[in-house]
Amino acid sequence: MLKLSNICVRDTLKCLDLTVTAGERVLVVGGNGAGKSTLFGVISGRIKPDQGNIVVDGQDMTMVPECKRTNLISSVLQDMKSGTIEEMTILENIKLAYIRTGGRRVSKEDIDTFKTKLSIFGMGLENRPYEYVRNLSGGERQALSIVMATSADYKLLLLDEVTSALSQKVSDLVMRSIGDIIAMERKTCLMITHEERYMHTFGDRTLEMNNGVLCEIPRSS
Amino acid sequence: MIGVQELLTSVEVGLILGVVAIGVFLTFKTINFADMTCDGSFVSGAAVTAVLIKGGTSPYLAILVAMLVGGMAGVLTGILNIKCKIADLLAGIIVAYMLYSVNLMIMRNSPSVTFVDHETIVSDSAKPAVIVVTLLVAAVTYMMFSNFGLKLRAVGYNRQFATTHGIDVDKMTVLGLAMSNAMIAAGGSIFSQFQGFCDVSGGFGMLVMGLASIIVGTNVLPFKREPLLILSCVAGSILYRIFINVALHSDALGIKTQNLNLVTGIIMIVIMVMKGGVNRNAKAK
Repeated sequence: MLKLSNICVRDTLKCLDLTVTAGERVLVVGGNGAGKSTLFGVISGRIKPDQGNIVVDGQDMTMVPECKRTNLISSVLQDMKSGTIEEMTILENIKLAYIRTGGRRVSKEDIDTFKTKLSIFGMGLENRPYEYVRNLSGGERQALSIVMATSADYKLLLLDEVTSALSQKVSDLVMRSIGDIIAMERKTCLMITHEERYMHTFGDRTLEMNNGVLCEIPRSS
Repeated sequence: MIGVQELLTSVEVGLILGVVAIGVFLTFKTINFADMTCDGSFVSGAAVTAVLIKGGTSPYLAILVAMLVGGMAGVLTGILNIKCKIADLLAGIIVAYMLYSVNLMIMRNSPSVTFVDHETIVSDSAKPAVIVVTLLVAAVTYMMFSNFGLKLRAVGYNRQFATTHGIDVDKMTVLGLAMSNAMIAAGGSIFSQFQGFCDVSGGFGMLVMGLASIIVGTNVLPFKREPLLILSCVAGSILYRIFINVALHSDALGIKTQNLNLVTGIIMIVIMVMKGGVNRNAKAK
């Protein structure tokens, strides 16, 4: 599904290799500045590696620009501002989410599917399509970002500390809902987290980023 | 006091220059690009129109050619900004500066071209001009409601979001600039047909006038949905023209033609400062 070979980015990533099989859910942990977000940047295309190859779903993505990778890769970042457009309504954001994979018209069924998914979070966002996103709380915005990232078709989902700015209670709710959505869709997912308590509960395996290389952490079961 | 005929003329001019305001809106508001090409591309539209009509071309075809030329000026500004990494403001200023020479070349080195005695879209009545403006406004409004318009707005609001959602920000910026300057040139074309001549320095202050129309229109009209703000631009332009005309004709205010830029600027500043005071909390980042 995802194969990174010999990726180097300046001093951050050092000849990194990573293979993720289809449907696998991988947790990435590691200290500040270890290169976790850089790794995601390389996969999504925001950061150009100095050397190495990126293959997603059998296609060589090394030279493909970020905006052309989005029909395979979908991501939600730490920064809440990057996942939604606050000056637009929820409905307009939903439409933009479906544009990610191509210019087809957004049907009523699409919007209904979207609302059903939003209801998983239990925040009532699905009933407020004309609300401007700037009026939503942090948790609501991340919930919307996550549903947006998983609405149109995608092969690989990247989640970069999506709950780091949320309170523990909201964070647990969002994590639980993410788990539900991912289980429902059986997609491949990589997630970065700082929160110790998710480390052994989320996903199939855990990798630790240390000094620009990844190593597997055994799971306590 | 102002007469009915003068009021109608203000509405007409306001409607025509409303097209320019829409052009300015597409860059300054929609794609968030401070494009200064306007003063140059407005005259380019007028110059092409004057020369073509004088040469016997259909006035409608002249508008289309003017839009094409304006669009090209916009593309050039876009390329300077994206490929040559020149800041948006400077890229527009340079293109507008260069267009002065280009416009003189189009006008065969004469600073003004008169074509009052030729057939234009306003020769018989104002109706064709109103129809053309309505079509242009309808086309842009439709575009803003489409997926394409949504992408264009996404680029203006949040470039990072746009990129992660598969929108080619560079391509959209160039297209936005092209459409904007095509509209501005169309405004220049229709306005020159209305006046019956084209002056090489006639574009001076068009950008500020466009911005003034946007500020008046978006603050006076209750439209909130962004695609509908296109209509606010036209309404703002008409209101602005009427206001100027009334101000110039009123002895009590004592405003003279030579004070116009000062008065327009002060009004814009006052509205913007007041708006800032009201909206500061809503816009808090």
